[in-house]
Parts: sequence; structure tokens; C-alpha cells
Amino acid sequence: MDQNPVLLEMRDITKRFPGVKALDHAQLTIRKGEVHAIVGENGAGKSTLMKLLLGLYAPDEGTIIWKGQTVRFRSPHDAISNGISMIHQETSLMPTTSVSENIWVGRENKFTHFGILNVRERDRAAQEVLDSLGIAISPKTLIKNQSVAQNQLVEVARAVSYNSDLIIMDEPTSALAEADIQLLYKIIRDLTAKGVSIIFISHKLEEVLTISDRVTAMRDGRYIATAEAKNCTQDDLIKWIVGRDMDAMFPKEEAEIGDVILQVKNLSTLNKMVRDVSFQLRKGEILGFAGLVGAGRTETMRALFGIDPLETGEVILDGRKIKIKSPKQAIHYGFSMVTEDRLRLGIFSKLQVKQNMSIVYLRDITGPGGTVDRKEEERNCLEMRDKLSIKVSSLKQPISGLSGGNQQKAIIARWLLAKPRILILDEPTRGIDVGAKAEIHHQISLLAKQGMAIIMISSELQEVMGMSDRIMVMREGRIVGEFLRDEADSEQIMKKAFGS
Amino acid sequence: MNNEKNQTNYQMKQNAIEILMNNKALFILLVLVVFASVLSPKFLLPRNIINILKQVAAATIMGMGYSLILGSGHMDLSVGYLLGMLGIIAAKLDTQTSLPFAVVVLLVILIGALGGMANAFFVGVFSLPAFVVTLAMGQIFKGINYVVSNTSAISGLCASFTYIGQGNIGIVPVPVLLSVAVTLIISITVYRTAFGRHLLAVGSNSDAARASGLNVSNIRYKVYCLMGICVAVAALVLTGRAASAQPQSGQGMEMDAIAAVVIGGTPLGGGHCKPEGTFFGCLIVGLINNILNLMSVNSNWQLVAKGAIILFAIILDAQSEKILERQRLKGLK
Ligand SMILES: Nc1ncnc2c1ncn2[C@@H]1O[C@H](COP(=O)(O)OP(=O)(O)OP(=O)(O)O)[C@@H](O)[C@H]1O
Ligand SMILES: [Mg+2]
Repeated sequence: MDQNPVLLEMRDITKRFPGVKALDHAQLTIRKGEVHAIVGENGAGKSTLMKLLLGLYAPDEGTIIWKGQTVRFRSPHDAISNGISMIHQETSLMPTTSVSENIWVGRENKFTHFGILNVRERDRAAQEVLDSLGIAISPKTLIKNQSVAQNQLVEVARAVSYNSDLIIMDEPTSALAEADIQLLYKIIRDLTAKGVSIIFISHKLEEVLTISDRVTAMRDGRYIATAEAKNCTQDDLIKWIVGRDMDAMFPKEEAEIGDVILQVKNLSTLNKMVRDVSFQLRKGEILGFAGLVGAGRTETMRALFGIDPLETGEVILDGRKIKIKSPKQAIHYGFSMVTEDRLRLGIFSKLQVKQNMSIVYLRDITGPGGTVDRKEEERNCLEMRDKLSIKVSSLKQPISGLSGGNQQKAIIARWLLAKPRILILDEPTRGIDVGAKAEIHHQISLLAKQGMAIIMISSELQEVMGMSDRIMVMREGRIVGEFLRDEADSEQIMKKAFGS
Repeated sequence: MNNEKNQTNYQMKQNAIEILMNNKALFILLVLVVFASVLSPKFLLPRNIINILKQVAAATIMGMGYSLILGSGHMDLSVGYLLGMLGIIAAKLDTQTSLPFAVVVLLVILIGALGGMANAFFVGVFSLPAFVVTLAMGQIFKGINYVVSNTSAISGLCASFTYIGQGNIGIVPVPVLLSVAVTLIISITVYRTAFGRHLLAVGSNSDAARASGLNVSNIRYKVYCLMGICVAVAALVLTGRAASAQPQSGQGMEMDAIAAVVIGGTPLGGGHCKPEGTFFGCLIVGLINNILNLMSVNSNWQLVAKGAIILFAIILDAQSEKILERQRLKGLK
């Protein structure tokens, strides 16, 4: 690998945003045909560095050398025509259009004859791309009707279809389940065998060491180190990322498990994604849900929380039967839910960080005249910022200016401020760095200790097993297994999840 | 060292541009005021200033409601016709029934609120785009207006009615007082109340708003209801000022309102709302009229000029994000 020619070099890159120095003399060297991982805390500047390369922002200082020439791309279009494509951390697909339209957007010329777009030809070409990558998605499906994971695969297909020399993947696996992750690895290996270089950003250190040839670590916008993956351990990476030694996993604290607070009986939804699901939840308990993406875990919780309508089923809270028809009612009954789909169901991109955090519990600090106690709001939000170490330049900045992981933390803060009795967490640590992840685990553990009942969905088996008192396994909309903490065994769980 | 200095210069320039862009309306207003006072010494006379404020009062009140509509990500093309209809209904009730004027006022406000909520109803229940619903509703309002008025003006209003449009409290005209009061109420609603927060959340991402426990349809009803109330007050002011109700009055005012709100810094698309900006936006539109009058420009050309200036302001608004971004892109170089 060392002998491969250098494809890209970024030197001394500095970039400021109002109130923050996002990059401070950062650097990066990519060789032809390598998988190069970038690791670093939330807000370390990984995405910003990539956006600079792609021409979405211009650097304040620094040099970019692409294929031996100093360049500065003026727009993603410019970068793409020079052989660089990118899978963004936040999906850039258009919800109301089809998969095929999204793959070929901007390149309709290929299928246009005498001014008329041949849709069938375009869809066929999309099908070919998807087939060649082994992605089982129909080109005609609308984006909004697909899961986050499926859309992530569409992004992959689009990025690959440009036949670029360099493909940037910004946290491509955070929304994917195990099987899809394996598929992505295969796609990556096929690409590198053809001499394509990959930049791979991820917070999952294990996968970083598996898939990449070299790793670059960043901290606070600065370059820390680059090393051969085969010579590194996870501990080395953690040390570079957070600047000190620490444990990657926060050990769950023992919590006293109390009475049954919630019983769910024979839950089914109209869309058939959830079938006859029953479980119960106790005070102080963390109930984990394992399974593949699409197994119906998210759908179960959405139905329970009133986002989607129920077909049949009973929900019993404190021994009383209740009906939840909307999230508003669910919140009234003391539920909180951190949703999986942050972009669609989580953030208010145009509102301030503070306003995003306080939206649910706002009524608790609203006076008789309908006016918000803004001092109290400020105080609570600052407290949450420190507790979850959310990196912001000001609580008043629009949330869209935060790094992905910090947006996620702000959403978690939103639901904690609501002081729930039952907290539902759907992929809560998606896109969150190692240090903060341990901190969030710590917080969850503390909450359970104080008697909160917690449901946690995670596609990371380690996380579910590490945090849960009890684990439910789902497959095809049904519960197919239940394990107590002590008897949980990853192999057994995977077997149930895959149904073999 | 030099670099440091460059950096602070850059930051200052950056900040200056941001402040300028965030308060465009105020700056445009200042430029217009300077321009007008150079143009005509009469411009800065208190009487002329008060006149302008009086002229824009109805539009400002309507613009306040419109800021809420745009902030919550909606649209209302019916407001002009609603205003015309409410003016006629008010005049009819005033001249042809023995109801006390206070009751007339309450009835008109009630009908305004209901008219607004009818828009919200059709948008919500049939999940239709507000654009089409309000376009159709506008025709209905116009039709009712013509049926009630028989397309002729109604005059002979009672003294209380004309007082709303022409009266003074001290030296301050009543309509000006009303427009300032409505501006204050709406500003407080947007900046200080939970409802204000909720409406921005709905405007920014209505799915996420629902998932955060907000009753999206309830909020929509409230927003359109407030819009209707603002239109009713504006109708009373406008009718009172003219001392008669014209069937044609209000037509086209929705466009002026959109322009004023957008110039004022509340963009189309939802999630942002700036009522005090709308106040300046309305003044800008009013000032342009006043300047054209001072220059004794033919009234048909005035229309053309006004349209052009509004277009310019909207383009400026659309560009200002890009200008900011370009500044950022340029960086130090
Ligand atoms: N458009 C923007 N406006 C203002 N600040 C920004 C903007 N984009 C990024 N930042 C800031 O720059 C810093 C780096 O952000 P970046 O998104 O590059 O982090 P990241 O390393 O990708 O983090 P994550 O792992 O959470 O995705 C953060 O402090 C962020 O708040
Ligand atoms: Mg990022």
C-alpha cells in the first residue's frame, strides 16, 4: 500500500465558522486504491474537511492537491466531474421522488433523446447499478416510502455510479444493519480492487480497523496521527480521539428493578410491520430490543408512541388500560421517545439549538399568560449541554450548524428535559463518538437507577447486551426470543434474529 | 501578527455583513427616508410622517397575521378578498341594523376568525395545499362580498366607525395606535409564548412537530384564526378611513402583504418569523407610494414602479443567504 501513488493531499487546512474554528491546520493524504478511515469526536471537523474537499465550503487557509495538481473545487458538481463523489452523513435524497430519479439526478442527459427523457431507460440503468452492487431495491420506489437504511444504500449506489476515483463515505454504516454492512464492505472491497480510493468516516472503531488500510485521527479540528490499521489497536484510536485512555464501554450500574409499569399486549399495526407483539417493562429496568433493521422494532415503538395507528392491541400503564392515539397523548402519559430518523422526525433545522431542546417540555415552563420562562429555559438547556457535553458555539445558533453527533445529543436532551417515566430510545447513540457514547450510557444507567423504565433499540448488539437487563429479539414483526442479562449470548441472539 | 489582524478585519467585515443582511428592512427604510427627504423638504414634516403611518396601518395589521402564516409554513391568498368582504359586511351591519357599533365590531372579528378557520379546515381535513384552498376561498369571499353589496359602495357610516379610521387620541391617529398595538401583540406571541415556538416548529418540520407532541392541526387553526382576526381589524380600519365600504377594496393586498413580510425578513417556507421586520416592510411599501406621490408620478406608472421595487426586495432576500454564504466561501482571500 505504501508504494501506491498519492491521489489526494490536503495540507494545513483551516476553516472558521462564526464562533468556532472547525478546522485548524488539518491534513490528510490519500493513496490510490486504499480505504482510509477518519476518526474523531463529534465536532472534530471530519465532515467539514470533506465538505471543503467537495467544494461545499472554501477553506480559509490551506492547499488541496488532487492528482498532483493544486485545486479548489467550486461546487460538488465540479468535484464530481473531477472524480470525487460523496455519501453525506445526512441524507441528501429528495423524499417525493423515486430511487432511480435520485441516482441519476443531474445526469438525465444520458437518457434524454431529442429533449425527451426516457424514463424507462433511466430506470433500467438504475436497476443495473443496483443489481451490480447486490442491492435489493426497486428503482421505482419513492424515497419517502423507504427506511433510513434503504435510503443509505441508495446513496451508496448513487456515489458508486459516478465511477469516481475517490468516494467519501461519511458514517455510511450508522444507519445500516449487520447484513447491509457486510454488503457495503463487499462493495468497498470490489471498488478498491479496481483502484478506487475510499474515505471512510465512522465512530465504530472495530469496523474502522476491519475495513480500512490506514486511519487518520482528528481532534478539535487538528490532525493528530495517521497509521496503518493493522498496526493499531482500538485503544490506540481511543487515545488519539479523546486525548486520554478510557474504556470504550461504560459498565452498566446495578439498578433496583421495581414493579411492572407498562404492559403491551398483542400489538399489531395496520401496515403489518408489527404482529402480535407483547412485552412488559418494569421500573428501573432497561429493556433492549435486538434484531435486524426492518424487524419491526422501530415500528413497534412508533405505534406505542402514537406516531402510527394501531390495528389491535392493548397498552396497560400502571395497571390501567390506556389508548395512545398521538405522540401528544403519549407524552402526557409520561413517555419520551428519541426517534431513529433524526432528519424527518427529530430536528427543526431552522430553529435554534435551545429551541430544539425545549420544544417538548416547554409547557412545563410556560406561565399562565402563555409566555415562556426564558431564564429557566436557558438554565435547563445549559445544564443539559454540560451533562451531555454538546459542542455548540452558542445555544442560539441554528441546530443545522451542529455536527451530526451533536445534533443527536441535542435531541436526547430534548426528551430528557421532558422528565419521562418511560423513555424509549431508538438507536440513541447513532453517530455519537466513543467518549460521548460512554457518557450517554452512563446517563441512561443513572436514569434507570432513579427508577425510570427504559426501552432501548440498537443495531449494535454489543450495546444492547451491555446496557440491557433483558433483551427481546424481533424478526419479521414478531418477538422471537427473550433473554435475561446473564443468559444473553450474542450467537444465540443473532440466530434468533436471522431465524436460523 | 499580520494574520491576526487580517482575521479580526475579516470577522468584523463578516459581522457587518450579517447585521446588514439580518436587518435589511431597516436599512432599506433608512435609505428611502434619506432619499425622500432630499427629494422633498416636505417629507420630514410631522404631518407627512403621520400620514404615511396612517396609510400603512391597515396593511401593517394584515401583515402581522401574514407573518404568522408564513412562519408556520403556510400561505393565504384569500386575505385580500376576505378584507373586502368584511368591510362590506361591517358597513352593511352598521348602516342597516340597529346593532350597537361594538357588537358590529365583535361580529366582524368573529366572521374574520371563522373565515380564516375555514381555510384551515379545508387544508387540514382534506390535506390540500393551502395555496389552492385559499385561492378558491378567496373567490367565495369575493362572491359573498358582491352578493351582499350588490357591487356598490356603502356609505353613511356611524361616527364611531369613522373614528377607527380617522380619529386621533392626542396627536396619534387611532389606526396608527392600532397597528402598533397589533405589532406588539404579535411580536410577543412569536418571541415569548409557547404558541409562538410551536408555530415555528410546525413551520420548520411538521412531522417532527407531531412527534414532539404538538397538535399540528390545532396550531394551524389558531394561526389561520389569528390571520382572520387581523384581517377583520384591518378591514375596520380601512373602511373607517374611507368612511365608506368599497366592494373592490382589499383586492391585491395579499401580494402587498407577502412582499412586506418577506422584505421584513420572514422568508417563504416557514420556520422563521419576524413581526417587527414586517412593520418596517409595510413602511417601505408605504414610503415608496409616498415618494412616488411626492414626485407626482402618474398613478399607473406608480404601480409599475412599486412592482419593480417589490421584485427587487424579494430578489435581494433570496440572494442574501447566498451573499452570506459567498462571503463565507471567500474566506480570507
Ligand atoms: N454550517 C456550519 N455553521 C456553523 N458551524 C458549523 C457548520 N458546520 C460545522 N460547524 C461546526 O464545525 C465543527 C465541526 O463540525 P463537523 O460537522 O465537521 O464535525 P464532525 O467531525 O463531522 O462530527 P460528527 O462526528 O458529529 O459528525 C463543529 O463545532 C460544528 O458545530
Ligand atoms: Mg460529521
